[in-house]
Amino acid sequence: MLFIMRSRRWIKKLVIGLLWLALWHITYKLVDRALYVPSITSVMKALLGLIIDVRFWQIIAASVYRVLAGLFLSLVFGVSIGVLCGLNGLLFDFINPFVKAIRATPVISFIIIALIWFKSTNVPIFISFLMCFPIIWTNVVSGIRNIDVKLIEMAKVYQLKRSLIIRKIYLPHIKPFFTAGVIMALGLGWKVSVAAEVLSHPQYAIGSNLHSAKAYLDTPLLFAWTIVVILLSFIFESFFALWAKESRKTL
Amino acid sequence: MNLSIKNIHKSYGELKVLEDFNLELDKSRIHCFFGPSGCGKTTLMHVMAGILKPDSGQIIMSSDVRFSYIFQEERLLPWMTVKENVALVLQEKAPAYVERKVLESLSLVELSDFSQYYPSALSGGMRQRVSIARAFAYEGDVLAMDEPFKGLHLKLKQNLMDAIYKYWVLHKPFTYFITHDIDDALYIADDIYILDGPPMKIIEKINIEVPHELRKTNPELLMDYKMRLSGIR
Repeated sequence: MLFIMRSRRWIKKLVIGLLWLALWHITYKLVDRALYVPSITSVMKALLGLIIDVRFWQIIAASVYRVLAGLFLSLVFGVSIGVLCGLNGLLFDFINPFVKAIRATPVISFIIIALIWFKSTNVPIFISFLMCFPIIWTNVVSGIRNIDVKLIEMAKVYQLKRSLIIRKIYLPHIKPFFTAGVIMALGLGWKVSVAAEVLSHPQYAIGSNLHSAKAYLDTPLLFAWTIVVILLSFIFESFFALWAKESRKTL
Repeated sequence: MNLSIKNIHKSYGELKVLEDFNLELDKSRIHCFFGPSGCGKTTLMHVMAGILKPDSGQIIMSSDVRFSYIFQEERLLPWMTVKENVALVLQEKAPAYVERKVLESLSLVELSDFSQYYPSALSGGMRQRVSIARAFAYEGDVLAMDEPFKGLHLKLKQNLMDAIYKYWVLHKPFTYFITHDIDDALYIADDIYILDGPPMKIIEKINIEVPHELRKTNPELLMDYKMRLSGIR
């Protein structure tokens, strides 16, 4: 029974997917200019051409590394500074305008300044860090502030050490806030990192290839690379969602 | 060691909960704060344990006192099992000691079979007993209990009170508790302070001179006290 229901859901998904492909095809026919809207077959051919090339996988690895490195930095700083800001109002007041400023600044401004500061390969790392950090930080701070003060009172009466209070009470408490932050940051991190690659041209990078596809007016290739970015983003999010679900079980 | 509460003042905004409150508690007796809700009992207990700072006045007792505190709410960590919640307050100790203490305390509150459960899977009364087990395991110099038997049915309550008394005989902590229930008060207290407020004042102090061992077997000995307490109410 369950199997039938599952396969039904699959069929539904498949039909919806096919409908969208049909819409793409109709648009392609209506526009009738492959430069603007390429055909499905040409994009698939471009995609296939990509994945059989070893270089493609090196490029993917390099881009994935950049996003993860940026995300990792934002986790390290976002959690540590977030916890401190959640506990200390003065520090929060000090950091908050800085984070607000980052949020309000267009990504492109940061990319341009990062191009001056860093080597091309490090620019996307910095950018994805800078964009993810406010998300993680904000979620961690609101998690800390949301804590039940009665639990903290209890911990203090029983003279638990501060480090223990943080490890056993604050960190488990902020976990759901943290998880939500990471999921959001993953999605954003990908996009800004690729955008930064377009401008900084590292030797191995999805963004650099998007840029050259545009330079050669190779629309199918542009679409193919974009599909790659979307797929990778999906894969990461579902991996993380799975991990979050698993860790919730042990909670 | 005695405990002196000297000239304590504590207000919440306009509301004066404690106003020049004084009390001397004898370590060798079990004290009960008895009075209507909202009269300031919990505030007093919080001040005594250092959870709340008084506006003025002082609590005089030997320094570095460890509190086994049973709060009005159970205050358990939802992401830890019953066992882990109790073990949490024993972090500095050796693992073997922790294991033994935790199991011992859980068996005192009749929750040995639930050590692997999470608080969310337990009833309110069971959670309250976990918090009592936590207080036992900690073995503080002070056993402070804020309505520890709230929401527990009679039989269990009596077993718990027996457990608390046994614990008290064994460890002789400085013990005081809050209750609204006359029978609870009469069952384990030596000194009952009848309170009213706010601002909180002591209306009467009743010394119960019936030995603990007789209170269960000869409840008629408590009858006079019971009359007095219910009269005041």
